[in-house]
Amino acid sequence: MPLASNPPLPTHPKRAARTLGSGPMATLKRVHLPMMKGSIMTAALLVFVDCMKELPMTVVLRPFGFETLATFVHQYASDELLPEASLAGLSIVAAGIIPVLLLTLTIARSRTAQAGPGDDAHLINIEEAAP
Amino acid sequence: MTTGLVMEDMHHAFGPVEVLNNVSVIAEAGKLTCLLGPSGCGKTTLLRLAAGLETVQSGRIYLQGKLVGNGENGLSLPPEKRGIGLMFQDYALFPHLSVFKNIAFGIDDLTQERRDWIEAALERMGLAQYRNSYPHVLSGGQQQRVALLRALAPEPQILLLDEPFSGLDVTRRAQVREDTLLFLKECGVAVLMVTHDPEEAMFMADHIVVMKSGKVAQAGTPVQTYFHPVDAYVAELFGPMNHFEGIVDKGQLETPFGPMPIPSIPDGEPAKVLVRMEGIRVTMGAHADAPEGCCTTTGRVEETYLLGRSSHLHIRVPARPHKTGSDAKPDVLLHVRVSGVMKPESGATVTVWADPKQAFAFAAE
Repeated sequence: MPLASNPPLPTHPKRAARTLGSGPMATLKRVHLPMMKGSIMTAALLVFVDCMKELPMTVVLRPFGFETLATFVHQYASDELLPEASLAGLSIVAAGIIPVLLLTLTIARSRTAQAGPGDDAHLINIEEAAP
Repeated sequence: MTTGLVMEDMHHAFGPVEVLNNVSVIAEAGKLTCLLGPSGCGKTTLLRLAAGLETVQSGRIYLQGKLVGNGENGLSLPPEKRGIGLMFQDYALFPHLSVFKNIAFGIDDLTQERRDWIEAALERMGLAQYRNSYPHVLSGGQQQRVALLRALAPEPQILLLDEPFSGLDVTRRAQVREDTLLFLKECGVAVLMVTHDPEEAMFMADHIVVMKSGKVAQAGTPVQTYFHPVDAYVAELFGPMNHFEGIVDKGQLETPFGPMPIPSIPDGEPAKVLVRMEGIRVTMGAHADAPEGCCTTTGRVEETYLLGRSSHLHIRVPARPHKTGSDAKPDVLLHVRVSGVMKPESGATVTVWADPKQAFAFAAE
């Protein structure tokens, strides 16, 4: 499942927070939620894109007169009105690309944040260790 | 009531496995108490009970004279209400917070005075340039210091340390250990530390509690536990020993170094004498003078190993001093640790004697 965040949430930070005077709710707010923020955002984006392009469920469950991009495309395409279907189809593609861009940017930013100071610290360590 | 941490008659079991059996420990304010024992002897469980991370099953825990855990009525104050600091073996720093925010996490009211304390402590620990860095860019030693400061920042009355130096490589460990000890002494907090390293315990502790499979084997100062161990287990925890077994006769036991007086064990009972590897002295040549009261014997060097700071020798000696051939008993191989470099040829003749202070007699189990 894409919801699972890559590194498993370590148990110790929670325990550390408790010994540092933070109760269960405060620990959720100060430790768990900030640490899970990235995973929650990713999950929300994926669900959003999936809902937007969803067709069969929408067709069955939608109220009368309610259209989504997917139902537009389906109706026009089934009537072989491909030029009319194309705009809605392209909109789905465009809307699907936005989250991909956002995700890529987030990942790239977290990489530089990890690598940047890390390399510096490493260099300083080597200098310290040299004599 | 004693200040610091008092744990009385602690029993604890994980399912059918009993991990603590009637353990009582006192960690006094301003002193460093060390729980020493091999892995699985229950020392970490005791620490977790003190912190409130485990529920007390039986026994009582007092912090600064206040009852915080009682097995009888199920009282177990949650960790956040206890005012203790706990430094974890794996440090458990918050990965999403900077060094400064990690340390400040436990401080409810971040006054200017506390900010100054953190800045000064960072400076003192050589971490000032990393105050805004995240934990993953720090080396193991730096993370260790951040974890220590984080545990101390809320000014706990008791500091619990779980194997604080086991994650560091040997070359850095000695220095970090010394820095940590100095810093803790300045803070004047009561410290309860868990370790399996006897050298670490001897170096750090004012008081050592030796644990053996869920029980307290011996409690005392480092000098008491090292020079007056109550049984073979405690003696052997501080380094491998040479064993000589036999039957007590006329209040003494025959060893390769001659008869050793054992007044505490009655005649005819099996007993054993343990001599520390570093308690055996070696001199080159067949005839050398030993100090008054020490019996000497002559042996042959079999192997020598240079270990850097010390040398390890295997020396074969007759089972009884100055008797060879006619004695029915086979020769005995001694393991000897000599400080500095000593590398005699294999087969060289040496004179050995045992330091009576490093020899201990116990009833055979």
